[in-house]
Amino acid sequence: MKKLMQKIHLYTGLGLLAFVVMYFFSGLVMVQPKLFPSGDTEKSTRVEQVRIPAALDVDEAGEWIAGKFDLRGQPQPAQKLNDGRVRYRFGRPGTNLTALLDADKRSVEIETARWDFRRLMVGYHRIHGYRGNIVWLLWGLMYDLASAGCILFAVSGVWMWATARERDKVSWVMLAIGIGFTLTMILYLMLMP
Amino acid sequence: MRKFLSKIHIWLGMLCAPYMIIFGFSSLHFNHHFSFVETGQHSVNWERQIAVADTSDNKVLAERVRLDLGLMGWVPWWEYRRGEDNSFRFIVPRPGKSYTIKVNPERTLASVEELRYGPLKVINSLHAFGHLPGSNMVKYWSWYTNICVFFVIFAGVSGVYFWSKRKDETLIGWLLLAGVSGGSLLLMIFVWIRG
Repeated sequence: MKKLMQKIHLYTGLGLLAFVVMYFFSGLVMVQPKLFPSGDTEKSTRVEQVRIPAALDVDEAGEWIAGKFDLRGQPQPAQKLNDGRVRYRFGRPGTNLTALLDADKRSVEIETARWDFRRLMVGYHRIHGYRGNIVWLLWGLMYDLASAGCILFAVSGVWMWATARERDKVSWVMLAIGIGFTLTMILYLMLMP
Repeated sequence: MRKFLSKIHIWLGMLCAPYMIIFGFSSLHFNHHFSFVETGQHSVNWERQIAVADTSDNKVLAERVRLDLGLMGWVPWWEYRRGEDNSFRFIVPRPGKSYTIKVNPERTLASVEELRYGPLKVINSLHAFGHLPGSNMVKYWSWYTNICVFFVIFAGVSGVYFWSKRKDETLIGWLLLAGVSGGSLLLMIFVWIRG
């Protein structure tokens, strides 16, 4: 069992290193706006005339527009606006593309927003779900593996330490602080007004 | 040097193990929206006499009532509702609880519907959480989170260093490091540039 845990710790660590470090670093960027301030967003807008095949439904029309105008990014669910227009969004780290299809379906307004480093990191941190082409499905899979890897990494690490021949007092104290503080925080949020 | 790095790796690992589990679980929940996370929530209704000065500024009024009731949480502007009789309703959400508060026109009585979330939802909210109005304790969670962020980066570097000193597991190690982690880096660059 101990050998298995060592292998899990090593393999998850080496295999998921890039994704796990990316999530923690991008999380740091998100919660430390003073260290990583927001910069300017470059925006550009263009209007294109379209002839969307009549047989396409709302979602298929979004795919058609994305293909026609090379809008690359993870597709978000289409939004039908009250005035009859439909908004499609395609996001990828650093870039957000919005296509606003007119109610008469004859023109589409495309806005491209290119973000600064901070928003690039936020983009990396926030992409999730299993939507879009194979690239985004692969991203969703790596996201899940990295998430599960965090749990496996922690559990296998504690297991290896717990079954080691020697355990120093500092490790005990650290583990007690980690568990104690986390439980205190959970109870604090559940019980305090 | 190796022994010292190993000790730091273990000590910080012990400290941050609970956060790693919370981070992993909450991340999985963001991707899959597990219904069982929502279990265990229930609401409680209560009333309390208050003494707050009235004002036409909704934000100020909401903050005054929140402070008078001794609640922690935000007072989002989009949840303010003024009745024709000058009654006032707002919401104080926060991890763990959400309060829907109705204040009478005289500003003397607050009727509160307190929604209490289950433990898994609270755990989920600890993913990234560093500030909560009315709470001094939450900032310590932010410190803890920051320590764990640095630990993960350190653990990655020191873990590769420890592995590089080993004589076994080299082939599979290289396959994982170069193949999977290297491939992950290429994927990140690809979605950034190409999408």
